[in-house]
Amino acid sequence: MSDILDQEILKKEIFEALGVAKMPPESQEEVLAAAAGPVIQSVTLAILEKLSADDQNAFKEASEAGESETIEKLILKNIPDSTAFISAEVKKAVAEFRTLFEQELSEA
Amino acid sequence: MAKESPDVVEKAAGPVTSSTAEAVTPELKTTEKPKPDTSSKETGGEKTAGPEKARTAATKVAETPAQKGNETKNNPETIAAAANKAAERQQKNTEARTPNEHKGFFSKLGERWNKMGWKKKLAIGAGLMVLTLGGAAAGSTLVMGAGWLGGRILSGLGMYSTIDAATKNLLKNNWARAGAAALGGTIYAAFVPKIFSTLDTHLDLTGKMTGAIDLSKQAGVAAGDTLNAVSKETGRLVDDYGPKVVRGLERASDLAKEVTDKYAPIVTEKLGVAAHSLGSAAGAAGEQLQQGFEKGGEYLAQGAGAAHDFFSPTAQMNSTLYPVYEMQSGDTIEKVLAERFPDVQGLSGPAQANRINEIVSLMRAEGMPMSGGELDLAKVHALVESSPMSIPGGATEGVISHIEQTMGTRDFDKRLGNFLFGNSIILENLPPNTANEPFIDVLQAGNPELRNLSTGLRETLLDLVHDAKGKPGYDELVSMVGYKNGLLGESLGATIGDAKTGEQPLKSVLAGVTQWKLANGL
Repeated sequence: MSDILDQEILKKEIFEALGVAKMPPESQEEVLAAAAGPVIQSVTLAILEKLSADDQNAFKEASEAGESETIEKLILKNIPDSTAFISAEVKKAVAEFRTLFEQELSEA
Repeated sequence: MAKESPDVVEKAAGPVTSSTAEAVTPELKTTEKPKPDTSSKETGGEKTAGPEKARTAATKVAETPAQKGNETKNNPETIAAAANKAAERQQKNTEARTPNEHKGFFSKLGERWNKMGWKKKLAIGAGLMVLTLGGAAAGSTLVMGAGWLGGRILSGLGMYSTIDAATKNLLKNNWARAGAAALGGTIYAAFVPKIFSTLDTHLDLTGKMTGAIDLSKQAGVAAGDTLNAVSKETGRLVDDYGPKVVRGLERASDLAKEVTDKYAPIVTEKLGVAAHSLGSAAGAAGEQLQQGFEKGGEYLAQGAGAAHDFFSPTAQMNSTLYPVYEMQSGDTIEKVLAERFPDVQGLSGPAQANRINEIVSLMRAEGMPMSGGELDLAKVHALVESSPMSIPGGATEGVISHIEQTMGTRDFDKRLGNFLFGNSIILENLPPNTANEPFIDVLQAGNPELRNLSTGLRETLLDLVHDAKGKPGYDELVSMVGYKNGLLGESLGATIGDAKTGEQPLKSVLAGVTQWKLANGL
């Protein structure tokens, strides 16, 4: 399986999850890029809510400083199954975006 | 597919709508795909467009649905506008849930986000979407993605730097790499491991390996940290307590020295006293022992002599009763016999003289020396004993004297007297005995011939043994009188012969024989 094919499969899956699989390629990318911001914001808030007060401040400082290792340690420290949690939060945020997007599109 | 453009320009336009004026978090800027701009100079990287152009683009997006209506729902502009509105609404929803203490943080986050180029946002979006995927899609990235992504974790996300790498990979149509690279260089890099671990979960083999490596690395680091901590703590303990231990030992040493200095002389003195006492005791004990040994030696010598005498009656007889006498000048045989020969002791003057004359005659007949030199009285005695000569009375006196001295003869009853001389010539001469008459009286009254007591007693006992043969108690009697091969034991004979000095053996033998006779009805 070539890299190209892998990438095409990956992209297809991503766009199907986002509900834009049948849209023009340019639009698919537009929608994906648009979704990234609010999804990141939503997931970040979900993570913050799982941290203790002290760790919340540490998380914020590490984020602003770009200290990815510190961020990861805080997540691992406070969220037992952090991978599943983040994945779930991403899915949730993507689903919300998709719902809103479809609403907006239907109203267009 | 991302459009390769040498002049990638991000729209840093203002808000798509004005409804977010009160929002704490800056509105997330539209991700509208940049259009080729021939007026923009290629930089090889992202470019931030000016506000005017961004606004134009935003207006264009906002106007598209209204202009084209429902028939244009697949119109890219309509789609972009819908996406931006959806993003805006979601942003507001999130802001509504954001506590006040976090709003400043998200505001700064929004500012950073807005400064990102759209390709980076696209890459981040792709990376996030990977988290929502599974199965075939994730599996399809195995060959190209997993190993590389795992390697990215181990390389500390430093291999590719932010947007340039993301852009390059995206331009190469490598979305996974683009997402990872973009994330690695942003404040959201913390999410990258999560993305990768998700991929690992689905991608199995390689991912698990890299995950294991990562865990091992983490464990190693943790173990190293722990060891360092332990080492430091150990060092601290040594530093803290080492001097105390040393001081404690020094104090203990001092105390030991004090105790030694204080008590050593006393102990030495006490030991000296004790040693002296022990020495004295040992000396005293030694003296006692020496005396004891000496005394013991004497006793032993005496005991040995006594034992020798006891077990050797013949020798005793020879050496004691009948010693070898060294004739002195002026001695005559008569004089020596009168003074030293027991067989004539106790005889009255004439009787003794007669007896001595008889013995001298026997000696002369035997050719025994009778003057000068040694006189073996034992040989004389043997000669007398073997002689059939009749010795007239006179022995009775000596025998009775002996019995009185050694046997408490006043306690002898008639039965013993009867026994002693039963079946003998003496018995024949005994008068009828009255109850409990003193034996000595009986003897004296009824037996003038007691001068032959020893011979008579011996014969009596031999007869007794002869008569007892085959009867019960024979062996006991034989043992008692020392009978053997027709002769009585030497001890008995010696006892009888030792009329003057014999003590317990005679009494014991006679008493035993008496008991024996009584027990056997004799």
